Amino acid sequence: MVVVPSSPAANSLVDSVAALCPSAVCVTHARDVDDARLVMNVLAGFLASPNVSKAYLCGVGHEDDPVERIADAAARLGAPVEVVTLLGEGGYERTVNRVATLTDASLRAAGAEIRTPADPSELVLGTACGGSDALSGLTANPVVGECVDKLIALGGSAILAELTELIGAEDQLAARAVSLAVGRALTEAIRSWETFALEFGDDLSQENITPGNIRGGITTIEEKSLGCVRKAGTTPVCDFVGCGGISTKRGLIVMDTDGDDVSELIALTAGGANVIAFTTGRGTPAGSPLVPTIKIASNSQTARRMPGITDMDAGAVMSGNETIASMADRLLDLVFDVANGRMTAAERNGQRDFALPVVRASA
Amino acid sequence: MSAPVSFVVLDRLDSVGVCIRGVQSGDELATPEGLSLIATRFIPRGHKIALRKHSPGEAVVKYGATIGLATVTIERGDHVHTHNMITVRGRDAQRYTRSDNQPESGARSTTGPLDPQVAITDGANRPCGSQHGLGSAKCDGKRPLPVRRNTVVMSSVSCANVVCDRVAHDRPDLVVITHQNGCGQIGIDARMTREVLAALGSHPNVLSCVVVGLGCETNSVDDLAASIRRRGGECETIGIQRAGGLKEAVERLEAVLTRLETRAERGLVSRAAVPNISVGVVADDIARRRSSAALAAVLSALSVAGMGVIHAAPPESSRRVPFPEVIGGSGVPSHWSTPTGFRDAPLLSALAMTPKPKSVSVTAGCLLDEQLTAVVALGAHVVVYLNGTGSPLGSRIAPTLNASVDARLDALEDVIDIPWSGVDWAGRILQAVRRTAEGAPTKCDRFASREIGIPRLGPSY
Repeated sequence: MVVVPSSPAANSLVDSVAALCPSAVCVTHARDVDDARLVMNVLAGFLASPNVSKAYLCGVGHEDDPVERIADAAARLGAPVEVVTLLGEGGYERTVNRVATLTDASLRAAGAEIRTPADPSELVLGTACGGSDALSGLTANPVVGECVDKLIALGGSAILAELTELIGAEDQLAARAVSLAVGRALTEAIRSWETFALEFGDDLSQENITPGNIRGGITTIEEKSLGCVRKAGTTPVCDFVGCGGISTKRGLIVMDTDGDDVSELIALTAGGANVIAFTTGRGTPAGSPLVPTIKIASNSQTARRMPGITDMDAGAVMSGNETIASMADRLLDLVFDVANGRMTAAERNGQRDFALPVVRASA
Repeated sequence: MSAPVSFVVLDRLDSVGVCIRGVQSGDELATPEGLSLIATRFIPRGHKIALRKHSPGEAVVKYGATIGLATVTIERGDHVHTHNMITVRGRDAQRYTRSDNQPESGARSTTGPLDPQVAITDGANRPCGSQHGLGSAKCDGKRPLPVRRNTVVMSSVSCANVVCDRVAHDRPDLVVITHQNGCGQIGIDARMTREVLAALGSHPNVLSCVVVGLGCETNSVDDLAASIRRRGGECETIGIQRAGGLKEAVERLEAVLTRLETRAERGLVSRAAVPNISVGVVADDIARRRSSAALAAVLSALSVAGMGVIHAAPPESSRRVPFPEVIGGSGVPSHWSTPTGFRDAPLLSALAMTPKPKSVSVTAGCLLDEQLTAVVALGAHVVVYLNGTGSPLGSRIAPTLNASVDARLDALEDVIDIPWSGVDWAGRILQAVRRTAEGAPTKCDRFASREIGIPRLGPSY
């Protein structure tokens, strides 16, 4: 059950609906879908996420409002989307009340749905990392990587994103591509993020990793990337998709996003992920509003300091209590449990983070 | 005597190990494989220790791959980090940055940084502007007079929005500001996020401000708070990672808010002082297309009344508006890029001006909510939005009047403050601005959005 604005001009409508319908997923954003095709794709893909029972798209409804175009794009992807506009309803309160009434009815209907058994091959595990430290590449990311290998062996899929955090690891990754075309596409995309960043940034040597990364012991972007890429396990890269794109292949998929934690969660959501594994060194609470986001701490200190946001402590690998293989088994079990309805820490905390992606200049 | 395992080596090619616990200077360390060495200084957990000597320029190897180059001689057992190694990937960027400062060197510098263009005439070709003082004297320049007094809670990064949202529910008078920026932003994006939020946190209508951050973001709460204080604002900080979790951060924020006065104050401006205020003016694309005369009439009415006028426009529109100070208005392409890349944003230039211009037109982002943020950040006490779309637009900091430019929108009674139909539309706007400055409510009190737009163009890490 989702309520989304067509443009930032409708954010306040959605905020007011959220106050009346706390259990609906109401998100706001700050981007214009007319900026680029890609932003439209991500928003449409988000509305078409398998975890959406019904979506209301709120707009103002004037001649420049992209509300109908977004609804059409989402409907083409199979999204159960309906449009409500302020001009159509003839007032602010009328619009808020109309959406709230519709939302309440949909919530009751969604409550009657029951879960049906599904095969592990139906799972698409999105991967992400945020607030990385030097242990991310030693503990949490390899655990996710081994879990990804196991899931793919069962016929499932996994998505690796964050191309700005693969700068320096592109050759390793391209060597694993199933075809020259896939390898070339992902290498070119990573390089063009690097070019964009070089043109845009003041001083990449200081800026390409965050202050939290540096305090955690990461010195350069290459070092961060070589740790990040461990989330992708060891299987061949079978496909490369654009931001929010849905792959028809099964296996390891690379998606074109930058490293903004929240917008990449939304891109993974739009790309059809039904569970996300998110590793963190410093402790990042973020979670997708639609896709359960499992938080894996890279070190036991963070897991102990912020138990409320953590689902799993991969720091146990360092203390010798667990191995990467044993933790990967536990993570795979957790992925299945979460797919079956177990709540993640981010869900318990009501994390409904939402942002639309930045468009690379050359894309 | 065998030392406990305190670092790991990830690949046999590696020239550095990773400390899995903090080690002290002089500690004799061992790996599970029996490799041993002595730490030359304190090395925190997760940080790198040199397994061998590196000469300046030599590759530092981890994960079996080059992660950077030594900048100085690194001895065996040394801490390896930003003080003695750099990225290979950023060296182009460093050369690039240096060539920017030396316009004579290299072909890149054919187009210089965007210089603010300053034209010192208003719509009627009279000299005006900050130095000339349009209308009656402004306040002392340090803290301009307020028309509302609010306590503001703002996030420094999108990851902290959840904490801000949580306290918003029970405190309707609290002004909560959230946005989607601040994570791993670089270049002008990082500066834009910092300066816009700092300007909002130190806005005259803000009594006190609490900044909530996560802890690992580029836009750190401490730096943002320092910027707010430099601009004369008051500020407290909360960090989620520092507090030890979401619940703990919310508790700390609640405690701070209980201590601060969170009651919104109105009616602070006497009738005599009203002419001294600054009024922000924004217009949507339909309003600009439909009635450029309407925009000119409003700008003129406010100027003649002696008020400061702050206008923000999308890139292609701002140059068409005659104004005392026009920043970025002349031929700035969208995305304010030059052929050699991204240099500067007009809004950043405007925010950096001292003393603050009394009247200014600035090229801001393409989106209306970015233009609204721009005029508020530049110090508008009250905003007039020329509404051609019916969009419910408003700022939580500067009360925003929705002025219709289309009779068909007048029926939106809970959105439109000033209908288009009737006589002396600009005069009615001026009256409404005066009443609002004196404390009258606006329609946007109901719908002003927590989420604000900050222009952003580049990638994040």
